[in-house]
Amino acid sequence: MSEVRRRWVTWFRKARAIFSIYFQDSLAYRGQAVIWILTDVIPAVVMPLVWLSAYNGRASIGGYAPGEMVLYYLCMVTFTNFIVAHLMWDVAMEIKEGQFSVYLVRPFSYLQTTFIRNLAWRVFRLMVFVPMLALVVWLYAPHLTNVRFHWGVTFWLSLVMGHVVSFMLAYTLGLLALFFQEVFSVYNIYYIPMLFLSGQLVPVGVFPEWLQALSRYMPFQYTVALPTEIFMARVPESVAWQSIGVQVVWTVFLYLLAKVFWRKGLLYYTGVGM
Amino acid sequence: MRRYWRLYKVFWRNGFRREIEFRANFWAKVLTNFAWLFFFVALVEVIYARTNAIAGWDRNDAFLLVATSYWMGSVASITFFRNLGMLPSLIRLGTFDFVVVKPVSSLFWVSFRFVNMDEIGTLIGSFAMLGYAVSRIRPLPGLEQVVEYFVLCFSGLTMYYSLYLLTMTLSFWLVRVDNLSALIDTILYMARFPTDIFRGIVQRILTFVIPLAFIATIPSKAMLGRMEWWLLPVGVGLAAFLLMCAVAFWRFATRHYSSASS
Repeated sequence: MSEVRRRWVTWFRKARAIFSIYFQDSLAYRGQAVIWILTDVIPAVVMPLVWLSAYNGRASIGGYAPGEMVLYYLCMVTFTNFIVAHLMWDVAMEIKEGQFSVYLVRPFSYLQTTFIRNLAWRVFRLMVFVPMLALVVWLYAPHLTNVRFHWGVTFWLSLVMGHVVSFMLAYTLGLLALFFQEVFSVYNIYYIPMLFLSGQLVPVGVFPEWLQALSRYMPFQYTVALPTEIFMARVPESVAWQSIGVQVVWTVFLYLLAKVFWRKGLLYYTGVGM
Repeated sequence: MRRYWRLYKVFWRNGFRREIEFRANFWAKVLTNFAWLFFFVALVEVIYARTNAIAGWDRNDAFLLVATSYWMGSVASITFFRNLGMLPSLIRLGTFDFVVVKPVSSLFWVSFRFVNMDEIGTLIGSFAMLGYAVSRIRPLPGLEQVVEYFVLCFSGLTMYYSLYLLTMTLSFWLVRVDNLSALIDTILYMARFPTDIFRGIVQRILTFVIPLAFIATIPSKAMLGRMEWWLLPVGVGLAAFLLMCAVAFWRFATRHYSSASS
């Protein structure tokens, strides 16, 4: 028993060290961080204005009343800061330039390192974002009447799992760089369905039926859209649990895929600079 | 002036040769950019499936607006966007030294050195879209409107260049901020929506302080024949003024440049 415990304690200490390294790394580039956050926040803050000018007296669009539409974007952009991982660019860059070799000889798995690194960055972003959110809420205050949130277990679970699914997507894509030289155009294309179907542009409920149906078979809406909709109490409890199940399935699938990529990919990896 | 023209022709030839060298890569980039145009068209379609007008802009007006902001965006990235985007790293690494010692204006070199061909597909695509949208305006716009449109687009591009230059020049002091160009990119993204969605003071700021409105909304309104006439001289004047400010700021910054390498 104590052996197991000791191993956990060591693991936790390592994890904390990695977290604090990457947290400080984010702090060092805080100017950049603010800009990256703004590039997410500005479109998300403008979209409610687009919609508000589109109602023209309609009571609801895609099941959203004007106030709910505004609220959707505010919640979504907040969760996006924690959920959506973009680190395939970093992974691919490290593989291409050979720094990746360093991780291979470390006594800590690359998957875990990357996960903690992403988490550190996400937590940092969330902290920088909070003052911006306050400003945005103040700006939109007249539209935010009758606000009711669902703080239940399903919300927290779906939020954490959304983070995990998005991370696994980015990680798996990052490992593609082991096989192919030119992965950056692939990533660039990846953003098109990702932004569209994850609910970061418009709520999934606004899509035409066929696109909603297609979206259910893609991982993207299970990253940001699901926790946002659960939080806004738009998802019945049973459907929420079912969707969390889908998040788990995607995580397992992507994890196995990443494992295959890892095993096959290391055979191709040349270790530039060694 | 003749010398600069000749130089610019060489830059174009170089840009073309570079793309020919990695042909597969070139087509991949062209396709990717084209996909992003399609992406935005899809967004417009999704929104207009649920409504008939956004702040008085119907679906065809919206296509005109999107086509306008896309073609202006691609002209910007073919000519100056990528170049000025490299300025922070030129400064951080000290390579800007080599620019200063060249016998041409450093501003010209920094702005136009690399011609970025991979937006050529987007340019053609958005022009096709522009043609489609214009052909469906009733009554068809007259020559006067078309001329106004292009004059305002040119002013808009000048403003875009000036604002971008003003921002990037800041990197002489803010060495660690090399994603400033991403921020400017986001601002252009906002120009794809009509600035009529903003109200009151915000709208005025976006017209006269950060002249986002001039980048796509006002030229499109000129084409639609819905623009107040006085915006034309104001637009041209504002463009000239901003360009002068940006160049003055650039001169000020380069005078205070202390190389990173030496």
